[in-house]
Amino acid sequence: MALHPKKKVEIVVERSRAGAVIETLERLGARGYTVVPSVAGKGQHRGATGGDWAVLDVYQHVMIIAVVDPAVAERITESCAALLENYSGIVTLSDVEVVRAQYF
Amino acid sequence: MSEIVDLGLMNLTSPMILCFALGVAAALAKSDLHVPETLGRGMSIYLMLAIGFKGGHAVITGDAGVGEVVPALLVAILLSFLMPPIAYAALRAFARIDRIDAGAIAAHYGSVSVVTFVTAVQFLEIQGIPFEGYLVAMMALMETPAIISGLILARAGGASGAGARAASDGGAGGVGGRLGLSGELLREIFLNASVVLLIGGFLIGSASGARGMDAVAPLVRDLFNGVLCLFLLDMGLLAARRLSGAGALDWRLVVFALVMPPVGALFGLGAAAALGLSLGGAALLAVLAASASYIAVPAAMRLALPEANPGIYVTLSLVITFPFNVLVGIPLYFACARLVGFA
Repeated sequence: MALHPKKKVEIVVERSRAGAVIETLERLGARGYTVVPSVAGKGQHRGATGGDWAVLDVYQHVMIIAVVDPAVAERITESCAALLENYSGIVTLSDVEVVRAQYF
Repeated sequence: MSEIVDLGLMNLTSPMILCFALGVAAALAKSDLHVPETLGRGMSIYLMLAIGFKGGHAVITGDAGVGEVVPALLVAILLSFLMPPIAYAALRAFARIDRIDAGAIAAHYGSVSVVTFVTAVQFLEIQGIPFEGYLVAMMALMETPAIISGLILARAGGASGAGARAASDGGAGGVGGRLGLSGELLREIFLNASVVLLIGGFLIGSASGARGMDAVAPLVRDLFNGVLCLFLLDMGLLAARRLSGAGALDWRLVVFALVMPPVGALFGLGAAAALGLSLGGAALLAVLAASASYIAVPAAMRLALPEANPGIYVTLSLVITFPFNVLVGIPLYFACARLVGFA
């Protein structure tokens, strides 16, 4: 079976910034994305988040995953520094292979 | 004086406050007790819709005329808009924090806490003290103006690079652009969950009248106290698990979070006197003016003022001011209202 090389962009970001991140992903050429609506953890910027913070969006984080062409991935990572200024977040990029290339 | 102590004790032994205390105790003892996020959100949706509905029902079945309600609503908007400058001045002069953080905190203290209000309503109902139903509508209108007011304080004049950046993000010109009022932010300010539920519930409660209440009373009236108990248990867990955050704050900010509520309550009582409210109404308006938002305003501030530190404003309003108001403030403001002659 033929597999097609792509880049996976994973962005963990506080919920209040998720809308702006998704808008940017789509504007820069991502044709789809997946959102994990609630993730918990700990970082330098905000300390421990998720879990106990039930009713407060400020302390809730989401993970946004987009699988895209390498050129699009580059545009996305370039725009992330400005996009996440003053927000807590993690941006990672990894190599993946997809089965159905026509969807990405 | 003994009356204030009696009221305080009565408040502290109500099931709602005991549930809050249980949450605090469980969190401090490092229990694994945990209220699932979806349940917490579900309960807050229920509480806001139900209190809106009850308020609308009370207005339509009560005898308050338009001449009474409209001035009250205008005063609510004014109060919410004018409280932040007072808080801001205190924060700048006393706590010596920068303009951005001061504006963000001030917005929280001008806005209101629905749960504090609802807890105060139960405090009155246990004693059989009536209040004007339109207080609920006043609360709904007090959520938003403070956000705008706080943004003006944070951005106006000294709006430097940060303000300009937010403006270009928002893509809007004029005053709105200067304040960074993007479409997303405007939706968050005017159409956030609590505004929609409170005003929506109020309109449904008033449109459906006495028959409407008969139809849904088992949900919006009978279950109310029990759900509030559970919700306050969750709030107790939440506040106590963040206590360590309060320890990291400058002591002047902590003093502000304890002094600002009674100061706000005084303004609330003044406004209540101008409106000629009853004892119950005056106590509730004092509670509204004393309370600080910790759900709606933080969400708006993350969009509008990302440079402001949520570790400060959430901690102050949720971990210090909210418990203070619920444990001490409500009976205190009620006693003051009675002391100065409201009946």
